[in-house]
Formats: sequence, structure tokens, C-alpha cells
Amino acid sequence: MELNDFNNQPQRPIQPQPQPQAPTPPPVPPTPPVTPLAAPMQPVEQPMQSQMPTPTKKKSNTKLYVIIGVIIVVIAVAVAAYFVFFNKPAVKPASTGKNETSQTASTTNTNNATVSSIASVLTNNASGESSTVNTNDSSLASDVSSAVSSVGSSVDETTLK
Amino acid sequence: MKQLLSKIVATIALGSALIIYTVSPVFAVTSTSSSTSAMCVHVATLQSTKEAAMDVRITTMQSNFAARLAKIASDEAAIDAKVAADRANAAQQFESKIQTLESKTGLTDSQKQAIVSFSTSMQQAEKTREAAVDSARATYRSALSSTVTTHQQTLTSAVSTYKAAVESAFTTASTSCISEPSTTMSALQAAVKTAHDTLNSAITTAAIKTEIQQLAATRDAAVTAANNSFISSAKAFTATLTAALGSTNP
Repeated sequence: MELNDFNNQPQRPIQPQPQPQAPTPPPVPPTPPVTPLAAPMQPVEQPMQSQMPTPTKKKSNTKLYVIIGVIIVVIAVAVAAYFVFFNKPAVKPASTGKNETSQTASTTNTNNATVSSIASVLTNNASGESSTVNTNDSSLASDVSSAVSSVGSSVDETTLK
Repeated sequence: MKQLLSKIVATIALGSALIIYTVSPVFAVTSTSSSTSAMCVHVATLQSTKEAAMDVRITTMQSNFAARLAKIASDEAAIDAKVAADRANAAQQFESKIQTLESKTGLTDSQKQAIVSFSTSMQQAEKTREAAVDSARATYRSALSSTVTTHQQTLTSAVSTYKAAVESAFTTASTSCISEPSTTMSALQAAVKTAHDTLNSAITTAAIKTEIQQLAATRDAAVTAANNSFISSAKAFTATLTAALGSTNP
């Protein structure tokens, strides 16, 4: 507000606008001098602030600039901190939204793996059972004739002399 | 007097001649009997030692047969225990995983029902598989027992035949050693060789190795078929449940 007033110094002549409000008492022309007295009262105060910029006024503006600068810096720091510490949430949603089909397929694959894992408990046991039932087959199929041959060798004709 | 003296001398000479004639054959017979007796003693000794050894071997063979049958029974019991334990363990793990899946949040009613259907179908297919496998194993075992028992009976019979032939050969030798001692041993050896060859032929003919392998191959084929059928069904059940779960993330 104050800055705008400062820049609008040349607009001071517009202040006499209240004059048209005066015509209310048209029958008495001599009275107008009363109204002009009220009008000049306002311009007198404004020049006191604008046309005479004291050193105190300059300090006030400088402080204003400093405050604005500080605010800008704080905002900049805040924005920077936001991107630094909250950068992931800002990126992830963009990625998720970009490849939703891929995510769905991935979930489906995960489900398939989960269900397959459950089924494999029984299918793996079935495969293992095939080996279990074969245990010692080789020994069963081995020839037991050795014991019989031993009987035959007990009376060998080559030893009869 | 001279005539009397001549008669006495003649009588003595005749008596001596008679004595010599009589004694001489006795010496000859005694020499032949000694040779015959030695052969018979040798045959008797062989018969005693060899038949004793044969009896020991036959006893060992019978123990071997019994041990073989016992080992088959022991192996089958061990296999049964392992199969039962593995099946129980697999069933427990399966049930646990099903419960874990069912406990996931976000499942719809239809998805929960799909899980139940999957579990039921898998368990039913597993029972079918187990029944087929058990049937194949039972068939194999029955045939194996029959084959081994028959084999042992065949071999026992062959051994009995061999033993009888050997004993007969020794009996013949114990007789021939008196009348024909020079050919006794060769005849005994020939008879024993014949018995031995007959026994070896019986052993070769009765070999059951190939037969047992064929029984095992038949069993394995049945087990493989049952397992493949189960695995195929499991894949179908898996696909159905996966489709039911869809893109949800249970």
C-alpha cells in the first residue's frame, strides 16, 4: 500500500474530484468557498508525506526490502528442502501412473508364483516319491545264485583225488 | 625099516607141499584185500568230509534265502515309513500355505472361494495319485515276493537234486572200490561233475535278475504316469486360481 502511494505521486491533482459533490446547494453561489476549504485540506496532508521524504522514510523502505528478501530466501530454502527431502513421493506417483499395465502384470506374475509355490509342495513330493519307491531295487535284482554256487563248489570234482 | 623110513619122508614131503599150496593163495588174497581196503577207506573219507561241507553250504544257502526275504520286508517297511512321512509333511506344508494365502487382506469372496476350490482339487488329485502309486507298488511287491519265493524253491530243489546225486556217487564209489578199485575215483569224479553241471544249469536258468528289473520297470512306469497326471492337474488348478486372483495383490 505504501509503495503504491509512493509511486502515485503525480496523481495528486485528481483529488479535487469531491468538488462536484458541492453543487447540492445551487441557489446560493457565494457559498462555494466553503467547499474549497475542505478540498485543500486533503492535499495538504499528502504532500507532507510524499514531497518531503525524510531519512526515516528511506530506512523504512530498506527494511521493507530486507524483509521481502528474507521472505524470498526462506521460501526458496523451503522449496529446496521440499524437493530434497520429499523428492521420492514426488517421483514415484509419476512412475506408477506411467506404467500401470506393467504393475498389474507384475502382480499377476506374483500371484502365479505364489500359487505355483503352493502347488509345488505336492508336485515335488510326488517327484521325490518316484525315487523313494526305487530304494534298494538294485540289491533286490542282484543275483542270489552265489549262495547256490557255493553249495555246488562244496563238492567239486576237481578236488576228488 | 627102509620102506617105513621112505613112507615117512614121502608123507612129510607131501604134507609140506600141501601146506605150501594151501598157504600160498592166502598170501596172495591178503595183498589184494589191502589195496581194495585203502581205496574204500579213501572214498569213505572223501564222502564224509565232502558231504559235511556240502551240508554246511546248504545251511548257509537257506540262511541266505531267509535273510533275503527278511531284507525285502525290511526295505519295504522303510520305504513305507518314508513315503508316509513325506506325504504327511507335504500335506502339512500345503495346508499351511493355503491358510497363509487365505489370511491375506483384500480378498473378495469369490477369490476366497477360488482358494478353497484350489485346495480341495489339489488334495483330491493328490489322493488319486497316491492311490495309483500305492497300487503300482503293491502289484510290484506281490510279484516280487512270488518271483523270489519261486526262485528260492527252484534253487532249493536243484540243490537237493545235486546233493542226492553226490551222495549217490559216493555210495557207488564205496561199492566199486571193492570190485573195481582202479576205476573208482574216475567214476566218482565223473558222477560229481555231472551233478555239478546240472546244478549250474539250474542256477543259470532260474536267474531272476531280468525278471525283477522288468517288474520294477512296470511299477516305475505306473508311478510316473500317476505323477504326470497329477502334475498336469496341478498346473490347471494353479492357472485357475491365478486367474481368479487376477491383478490383486494378496
